[in-house]
Amino acid sequence: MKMIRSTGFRAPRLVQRLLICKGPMEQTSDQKFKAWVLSWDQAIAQELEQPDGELPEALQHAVETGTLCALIAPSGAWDPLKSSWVKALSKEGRGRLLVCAGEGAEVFGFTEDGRQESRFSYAVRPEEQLELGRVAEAVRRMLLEVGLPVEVAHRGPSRVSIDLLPNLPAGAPETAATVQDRLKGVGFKRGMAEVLERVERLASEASVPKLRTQVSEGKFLEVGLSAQGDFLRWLKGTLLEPRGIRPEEVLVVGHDFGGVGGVPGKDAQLCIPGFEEAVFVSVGEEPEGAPPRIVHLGGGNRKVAELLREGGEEALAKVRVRGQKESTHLRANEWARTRDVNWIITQQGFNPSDERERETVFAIGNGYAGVRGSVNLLIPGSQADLFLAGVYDAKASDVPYSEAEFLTGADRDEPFPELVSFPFPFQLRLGVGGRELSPWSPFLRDYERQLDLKRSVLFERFDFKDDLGRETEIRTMRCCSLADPHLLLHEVEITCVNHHDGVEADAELSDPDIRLRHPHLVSVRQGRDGELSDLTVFETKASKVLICFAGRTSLDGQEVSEPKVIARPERGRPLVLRRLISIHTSRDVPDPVGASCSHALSRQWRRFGDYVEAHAERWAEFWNAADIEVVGNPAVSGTLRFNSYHLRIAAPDDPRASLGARTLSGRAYEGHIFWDAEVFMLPFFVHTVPHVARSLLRYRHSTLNGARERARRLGYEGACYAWESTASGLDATPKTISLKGTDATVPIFTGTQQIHVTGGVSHAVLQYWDSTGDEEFVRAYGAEILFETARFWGSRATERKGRYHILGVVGPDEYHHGVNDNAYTNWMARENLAGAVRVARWLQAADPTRWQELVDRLGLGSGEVSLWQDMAERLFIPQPNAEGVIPQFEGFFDLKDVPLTAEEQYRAPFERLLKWKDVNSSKLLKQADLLMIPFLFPQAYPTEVVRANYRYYERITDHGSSLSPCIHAAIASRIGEHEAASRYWQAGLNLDLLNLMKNTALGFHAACAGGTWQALVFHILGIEFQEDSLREGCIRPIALPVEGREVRLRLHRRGQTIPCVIPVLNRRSAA
Amino acid sequence: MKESTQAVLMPLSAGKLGDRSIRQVRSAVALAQWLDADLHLLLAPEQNLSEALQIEEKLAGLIPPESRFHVEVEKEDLPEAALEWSRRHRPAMVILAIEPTHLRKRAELLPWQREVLERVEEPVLVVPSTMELRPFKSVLVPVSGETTGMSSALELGLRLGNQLRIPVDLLHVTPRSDQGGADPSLVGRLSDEFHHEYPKLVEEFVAESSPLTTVRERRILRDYLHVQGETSREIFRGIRDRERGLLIVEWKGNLARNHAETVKAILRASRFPVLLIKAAHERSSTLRMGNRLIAA
Repeated sequence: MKMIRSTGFRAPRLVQRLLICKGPMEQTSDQKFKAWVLSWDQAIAQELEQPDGELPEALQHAVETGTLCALIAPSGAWDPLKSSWVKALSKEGRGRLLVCAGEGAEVFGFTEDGRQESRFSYAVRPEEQLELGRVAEAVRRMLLEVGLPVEVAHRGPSRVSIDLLPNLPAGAPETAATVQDRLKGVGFKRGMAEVLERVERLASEASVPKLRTQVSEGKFLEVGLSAQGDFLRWLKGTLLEPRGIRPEEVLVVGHDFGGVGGVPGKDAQLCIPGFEEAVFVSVGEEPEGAPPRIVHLGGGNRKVAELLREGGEEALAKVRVRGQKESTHLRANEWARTRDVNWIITQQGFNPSDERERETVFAIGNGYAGVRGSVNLLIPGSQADLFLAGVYDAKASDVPYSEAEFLTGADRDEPFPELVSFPFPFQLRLGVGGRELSPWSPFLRDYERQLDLKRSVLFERFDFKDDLGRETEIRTMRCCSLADPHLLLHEVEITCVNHHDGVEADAELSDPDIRLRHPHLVSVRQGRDGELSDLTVFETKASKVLICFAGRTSLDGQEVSEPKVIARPERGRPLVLRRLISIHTSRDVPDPVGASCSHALSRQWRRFGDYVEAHAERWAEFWNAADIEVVGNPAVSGTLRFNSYHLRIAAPDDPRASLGARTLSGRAYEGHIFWDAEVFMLPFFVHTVPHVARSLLRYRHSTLNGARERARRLGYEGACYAWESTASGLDATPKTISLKGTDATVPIFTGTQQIHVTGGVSHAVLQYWDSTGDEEFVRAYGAEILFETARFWGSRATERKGRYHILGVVGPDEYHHGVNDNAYTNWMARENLAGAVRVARWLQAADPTRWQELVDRLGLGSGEVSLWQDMAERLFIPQPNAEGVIPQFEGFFDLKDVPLTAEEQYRAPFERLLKWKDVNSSKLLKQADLLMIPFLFPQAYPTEVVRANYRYYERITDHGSSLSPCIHAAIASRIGEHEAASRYWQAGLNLDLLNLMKNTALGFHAACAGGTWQALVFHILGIEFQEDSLREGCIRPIALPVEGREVRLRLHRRGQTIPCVIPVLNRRSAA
Repeated sequence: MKESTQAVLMPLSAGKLGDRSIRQVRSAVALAQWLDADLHLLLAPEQNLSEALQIEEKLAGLIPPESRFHVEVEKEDLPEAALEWSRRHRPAMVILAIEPTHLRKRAELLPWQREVLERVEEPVLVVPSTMELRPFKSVLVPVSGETTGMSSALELGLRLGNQLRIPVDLLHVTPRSDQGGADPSLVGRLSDEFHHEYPKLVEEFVAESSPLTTVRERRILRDYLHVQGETSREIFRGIRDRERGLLIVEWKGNLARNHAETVKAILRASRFPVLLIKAAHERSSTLRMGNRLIAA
């Protein structure tokens, strides 16, 4: 480094000498950090000017008590002599203060008698200054030419700073994002990274030794003759080493390490070689996150003052934790795995026959994508699917043998009724010494698969030992980021324990049987593309959705050009393969290929761990809102979490998509949306993460036209939601099923007659409104849903003898079709009509403009609302008989009694399907029907009526539906039948984890999970709301259907989170 | 069953090589040809070497020259010899020709045949000696419906179907409702929306029963037939309805009293060949939620 007389700086004197620290610089403090390096931004610099500020006071204290403080001032001079707090320092204190100005060009200290002096100065030669000016001007012109309104923020002898967007505040997160967008908008496809490359090219053409370039505070582009790293190198060599101050005794505080658009921030230059052991802290916003070795505390000035006062303890504590994280690397991935075992589901050992079921159990997702939890080294029978919410296609034309046996035909209103499956994005084929490793081979000694529910991360461990004695360990980790829904993360660690034969790893997204396994897809493109190791593009055959998977691969931290790697690692040294996969579709953006490529390329390998952490943090937010703990019963707590987890991973944040019956975890039900979404699942989201509930309801608004069409085809007005729907809302329900083996054809009545789903949707709108107070939603979406559905009921009901009746329907119990006045259907219709009236009156008063707009657009007649009111009042609702029992529908009590054996509950004979006429004329029920009313409306009937109906209907219900047990659990609990409540509730709770219906392999039973949650919260625990809070007295000791001391949960209500702790009674005494 | 169909073993207890024996051998030769395998005839020790050579000579004149067959004489008794040979050479299958008349009269197999059937690990094709095999046109695999893990019969059926390019049909027999009790079978349970559940349940059952077969291999499946009735009777009806069908049945390998009644009934009927395969040894795997064992 040159020590030359400088010109142009404001310092009064220049001194050309090295200062060997003595006297005032001697350390008297026993603090952990003997030296602090503080890099300021403008905001911090301004606060230093405040005489009584917290920060100056803290700095004073630090230097007076023996800490060496080196301050790096921002571009633009800061004269320490003008700061009163510096003037107030003792001579000894001043002796411990250094100021670096001009990004390493100047260093000032104080003499033994407290006078300011220059310790170092980079004298700029005239030709260097000229060249600097030339380059800076070239940069400025380059940016002006593309239309950016840049300004020179600072022009000094050794540095020029160009403000890319002068109107934006420096350092704010939105500034960095805006800058990136603007740069991309004017043609720099990779944003700041591309700009900096061009600047560096210009700088490299200069005739002076390398000009330094950097980006600071998200929007300043700087070209200079020195950088902050130069100062640190000087400090290390000149002051620290001679004094025996080791790097680990140095705390470096900055605010801009992470930078923007893939370009490191200014303070990243402080991370110089030889200083790796120093502690680096960021107190800035770091909009794109801080690099892994930086402890990101945020907090700005206040945090700096805190750190100074407490001697940097907080930073030290974080560093210790980080050390633990990094030291274990991926082995067991301890840093990414929750410690509490009650959040972990573990499979030990591998049985190929179990794989289909386990794929559902271990599924991961983020609402945008769902990926079955398949073993990473796939077996031939794996159904390792990825699903994307809302992506459907026409039914595959090649009907497999199973569907030939149960043929439903293609006659549906909905042209795209089938959820599309995609290839497994976490593909991995591994070989050692030319021999493929597979989990079904006899060489697999041990296998473990673990799902961390808390963080939604899936881990696997394979231990192989082949017939040659070669031991190989494989560890994998994968997740679908909740923080960045288009991003999938995958890590594989391969260790050749006792050999060093070659390892071949192939992570290419390929499948030789793709046309068989994923019949909806047409391959558009596959292969490498520039910096991407793999770029795969599909199009769906009929719906023409374009889907892009852009992948990058690294091996031991180094980017590799393709997803196939061959390596020969040293014995015992792990080889780490990492994958970043970005997914976009033409439903998301017009150019999914460009979006995926850009997204993948903008991710940084050094921040891989940060991406996993960001994902984990989002899950932490979810659990903070949604966790339920049964204290004293970790098994039940774990199962509740398992169910909540599966609900969350499937919940899309997309108003064009909703939750299918089997979520994004399996192919069954073709991704069709049923009443399950609003009646069984939505309440969970309303009371935990209401923004998800909002999105689910917006799906129903976005498919209103489909519902209108369905009503029209059925011959009615308004909107009637389809029993089964997909993207458009048109009816996707088949009309018959033909059974080849028995030569029988069974009609399916649900499509035309199961209309209570319409009432369920409107009920969900009203429930959401009541729970959140989200008037904007009702104005924009909810009102229209209510009005159109009310209009449907208005046309569907038939007037007879002064009452309105709803004829020819199927209620929740699907054994009976063509029934009149189904109690549940009529109840929901009445609620729908009354709700529409209520909303109409509210909207007229609260937002007459919106009301009028809806009147005009929907053609609401002047008397229509009154008609709804009248219908709601005169709609026939079945009433209890003398025994208190309400007929499920007209004439129910006259049907044939059929005794139901205990064996037949949950295992209804197949014959019931074939003998549908006989069943229709019997009292057998498939699932809770009338009991749905007190389930959704606990105050609907007095307890004795509820009891009478429970006892009447429960014994004739064969629970042929997974939706049934939770309803019975809720009602049984309400009426004090605790043994039955326990039995039913545990059946619902454990349905998938214990695979009770032997069909978990087909996908997760989300409605059962949601209903079980409702049964617990609103019936067993008895939670009720009144206005903004819990109804007084509703929290009281309860009888729990499982062991436990108390139940802890949090519920959302009108913008606030209400913690609930419910004590558990002794069950015997409660009964 | 091993992937390669390199050898088929036929133990033969024939003091004299009569017409029936020749017919049996011809069938075995044909089968080996279809499987692109070598046929190995294993002769009992009562035959001495010179007789064995005579048999070989006689067969050479009767069997097409392109056939690959070998005559071997072992020193142990026939079951031991067959067992030992199987262990060493891992044949694709073992062929046993049985006498239906004998079986019907005594209701049991010859002792050496029973021993071979029970002890050999490889699939055993039991062929009525009165029948001369012709190329199979389809495979029929009866399934119980309960997902009890890997089905050796189904895996074998799918592999043979793909190899011989003949369709594979599954026959699922469930008791009739008048037989009482809840139906324990796969599709006997109603659950949720049956038009969604049933097809997928069938596919899942097949996939879980044959997890090491690919989706391409499973395309050889033609029909899944669900019938109600008595198991043996429906199997007979199923195979009778299929001209030159090959029945593959999984069993536990125990012919003792009160065991394998369906297999015995099939053998007694003896009107068609049946390929018997032993149930596969299952690997174990456990599932835990925290420390609680959920499934094992």
